[in-house]
Amino acid sequence: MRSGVAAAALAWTVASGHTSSMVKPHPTRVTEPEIDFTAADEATLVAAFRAGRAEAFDEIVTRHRKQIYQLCYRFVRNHEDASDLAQDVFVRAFKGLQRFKGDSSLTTWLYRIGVNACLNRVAAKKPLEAPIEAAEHVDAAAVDPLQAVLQDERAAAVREAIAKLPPKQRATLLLRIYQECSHEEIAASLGGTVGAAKANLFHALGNLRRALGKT
Amino acid sequence: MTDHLRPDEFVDAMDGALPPARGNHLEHCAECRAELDGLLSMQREARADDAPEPSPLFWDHFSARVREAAARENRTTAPWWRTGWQPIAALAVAAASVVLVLQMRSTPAVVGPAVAPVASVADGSVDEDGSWDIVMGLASEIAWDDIRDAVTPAAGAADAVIEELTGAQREALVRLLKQEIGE
Repeated sequence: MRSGVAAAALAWTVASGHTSSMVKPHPTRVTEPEIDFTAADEATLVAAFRAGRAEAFDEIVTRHRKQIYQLCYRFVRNHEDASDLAQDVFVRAFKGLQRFKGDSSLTTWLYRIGVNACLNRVAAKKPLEAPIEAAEHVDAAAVDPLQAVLQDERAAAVREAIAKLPPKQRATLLLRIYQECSHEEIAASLGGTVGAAKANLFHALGNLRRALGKT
Repeated sequence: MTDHLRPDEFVDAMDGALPPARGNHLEHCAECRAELDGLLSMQREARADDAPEPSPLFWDHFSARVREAAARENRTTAPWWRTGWQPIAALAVAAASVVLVLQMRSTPAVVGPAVAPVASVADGSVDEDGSWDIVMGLASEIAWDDIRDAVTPAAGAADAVIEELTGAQREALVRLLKQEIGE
């Protein structure tokens, strides 16, 4: 019988010519405010995400995906794993953003998630000794092929030496050299003081020099 | 000249942010200068190694993947009262069907002439009725998700409809509802 009422109400609504285009919006009805997310600051994006606006998270991903991917790539040194890891970082961020307090910047917070995810991954999975992507294509017409091969070998040796650094030194070096983070951002991402972050960088570079026979 | 730079001071020196007093030491200490040169050289060499840049198409694909994975995650971590209604609803529908069938089988005499076709279904002629096979065949091809989507109103849809009613329409609706609940 209740469905009969609903059907009757529907028939009555149609018969009376009642359509949504003919009705004024209810005065108390609250509509979602229009926000240009591409121009919004971090706090606005986070607040919008918490209010259930999925587009805000899309914008966060768009702004940070390249940095996070690059960080992951530096850790795992191949595109497939870096892509999976970067995705994992953003899914973790999606789950944790409700609890983000805003004590650090969103970038720093994402780097913290990224470094943890990367360190867990590399601890669980031994990286390729000589990743295919490390052997880059040599353009014989552009440079001296022998020189290019030597440069590639050297670059591969540097990557190999970085991969063997202790986790904190490695993370510090990658964040500083390739992500161009400030020492304060590195300290916030990895936990610890600015002085410790600087000391980690010093020791990381020193260990690289020794590993590459530069001392 | 034994007061050499500390590790953090070397990094400050690399950044060009060493305090003047310590800069003075660096200027006169060959050992610290050599160490600093080595660090700067290593930093330059590491920095020269570029990571490959994925294609622009990859980024669109990546964002879509993140969106899907986040949505999946959202579904799997939703509380039981948001996800648990599906099996409960399925059980309720099954139970209601069983009750309905039993009721139809046990009360054929009460059914009046207007519902005689239903009685003929309940009295065992179902197996002989070819149209019933067609209905069962069609029903077996319907996915539960499709049924759910079809019968589940969008969140807030009822509120939206009621808000759009005029005063007279609302009064009529209230009257109908009161009739329905027997007031």
